[in-house]
Amino acid sequence: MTDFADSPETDGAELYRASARQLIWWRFRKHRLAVVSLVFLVFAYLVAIFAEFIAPYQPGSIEKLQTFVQPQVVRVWHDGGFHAPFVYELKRTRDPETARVRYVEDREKPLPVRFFVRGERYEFWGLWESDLHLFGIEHRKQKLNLLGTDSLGRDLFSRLVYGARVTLSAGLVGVIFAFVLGLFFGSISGYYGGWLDASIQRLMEFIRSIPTIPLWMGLAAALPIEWDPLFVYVLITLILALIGWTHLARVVRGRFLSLREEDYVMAARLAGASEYRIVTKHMLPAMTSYIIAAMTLAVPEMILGETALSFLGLGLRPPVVSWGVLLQDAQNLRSISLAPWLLTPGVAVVCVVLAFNFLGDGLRDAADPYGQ
Amino acid sequence: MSVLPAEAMPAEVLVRVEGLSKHFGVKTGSGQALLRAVDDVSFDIRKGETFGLVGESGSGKSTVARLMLRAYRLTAGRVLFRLSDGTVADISALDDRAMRPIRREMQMIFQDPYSSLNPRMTLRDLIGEPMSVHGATRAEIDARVAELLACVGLRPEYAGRYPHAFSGGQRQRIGIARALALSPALIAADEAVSALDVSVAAQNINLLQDLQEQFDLTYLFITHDLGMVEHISNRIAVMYLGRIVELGETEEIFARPMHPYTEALLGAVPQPDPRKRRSGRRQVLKGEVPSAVNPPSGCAFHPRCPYATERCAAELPALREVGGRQVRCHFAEELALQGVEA
Repeated sequence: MTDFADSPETDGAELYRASARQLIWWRFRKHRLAVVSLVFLVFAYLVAIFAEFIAPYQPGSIEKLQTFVQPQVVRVWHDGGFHAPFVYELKRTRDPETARVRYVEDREKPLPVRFFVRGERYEFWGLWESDLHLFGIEHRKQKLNLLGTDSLGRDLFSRLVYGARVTLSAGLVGVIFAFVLGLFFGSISGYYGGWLDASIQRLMEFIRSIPTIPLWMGLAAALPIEWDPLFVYVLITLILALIGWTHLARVVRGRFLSLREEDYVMAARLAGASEYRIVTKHMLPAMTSYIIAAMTLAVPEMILGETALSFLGLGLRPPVVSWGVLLQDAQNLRSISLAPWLLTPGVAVVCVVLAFNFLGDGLRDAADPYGQ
Repeated sequence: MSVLPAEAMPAEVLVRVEGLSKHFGVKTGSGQALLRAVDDVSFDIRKGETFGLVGESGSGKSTVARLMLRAYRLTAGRVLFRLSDGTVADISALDDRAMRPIRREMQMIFQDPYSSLNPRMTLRDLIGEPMSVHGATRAEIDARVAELLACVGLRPEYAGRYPHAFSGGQRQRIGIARALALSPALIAADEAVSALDVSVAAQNINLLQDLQEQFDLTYLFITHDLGMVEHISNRIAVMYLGRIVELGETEEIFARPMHPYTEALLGAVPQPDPRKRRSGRRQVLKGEVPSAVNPPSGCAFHPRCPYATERCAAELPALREVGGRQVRCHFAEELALQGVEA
């Protein structure tokens, strides 16, 4: 026989012992864009997790005399020589003709940007108090506004960092809930077939016909206003998950219908394996890769949904800080003409959504290690 | 209950199939129709023998095996199985839960060496699965898997590898090891070597024969390859459109078939040795297997049969004893049909 596997352990042995997960990882690594996206997303979630430490200021701290400050430039060149990173002090002036407030850099007064500075006090995840920040400037009146400030003088960079925490996580609960429902009903429907399958399919068709935006508006109006807006939002995503599971359930059902006929499922049945064991050990693992890819692609939808609904005033509301809420601040002509930097949360949304899509693409391509 | 006394069937019989039928409801253009995949099939498999089941694709031979192992529910009929303790169980009457302990006595080898092994499990988990389902400990499984791998000619160190590391022939041997895991009495081999090339198939056939001697196995050997079945089987049953048309000792059937369909099948076996040319004419099967949803009237084979008369179109012949075997043909005695020289 020409069986190379018969030869003693050689270089190939690693491949032969490779589990499906390793094969997927090996293929995924070849997908440059997806790997870059993965790194970016890990970075974004780390920033969101350590928001208190990374943001130089609290998201709600108002500075009346520093409204609509333009993004500050961090420089290294001053007075004919290189220095450690610094920003120039800003002087608040008024345009004599339009009476508009302007901020002018005072080229004589550099303020060094320092790392690990003491600043505003915060509670890290409500666990312990600290005042240590990753970076900032030590000055009594001046602030460091990397992305400028809004109409109340709040630091946009800090708000963006805090907003990441809510935007990147609030809908995950809904997505996971939808996946659990979808997997459960999809697998039952596909595995047993018959009248059970038919009734679950009809139920799904009914659920899919419910229009979501009016439902969302109704729910936003019906839930008590004094409830914590974040809690209300999670509640609404959960209710929407009751509708959203049908898409996954359909795919899972289709895969189960075909997997059911696979010989290895028959073999497990003839070995006396219980139905639970067949489903969890033989059928679901055959589609984990698909499930992971689908979940990765569902997250950006959730992020866009949050942004869109908050923008319309239906999702999250201030004082919660999310990217959608930040974009709501940029919702008028004045902001766009006078303070275009208020649109940067939009850039953040685009970057994260694109990264998730690239990652999902890479995972889907790598997903089926036995495909080609 | 479904456990019958040991005297329910003769001592040398391991499995008795009585009036086995399986009908599937299928959707056609004009509504529901009944597909008679298997219709009134009866036979005995004796302990230690290899029973061949032959027929064209769609003749229902795989369905018979799956019904025997209770992978499907029976539409009608009984399957009696002699357990290792000597009692006889009517497994057709058992539900899935009651069936579970009996499953260790009967296992299956599948046709497709690729789709029959879960690509996400190592050989140890694949071969060990029947054991872990029946409550063996990890150490027992590890030891037994190593032993089984050696039995089928694979290195025990391969236990940690995944199926994608192996060739078709090797995968088939992994399937054989899995079937042996619980030391069953009966193994149904469903086209077990059809997917392999000739030399690898021959190796695996020899392996199966060695294992039969070593472990005192009984085989139900399903194939469309008559050359193979002649080599390995003691007795064969020929199936056509869900029914057995002829059943008897392999040598006798090959030497002198009594059913025109058997004759036609034998005529299609390639004869590699030109000196052993068939004497006289050769029956060539014309037409295709009719649909099992809408089978021909009378004898299902009559539209393709060169000897058919009006009676064949009108009346379904019974399976009857003729000269020590069973034939389903009105004219079994009159026809002098052509066999092949062994």
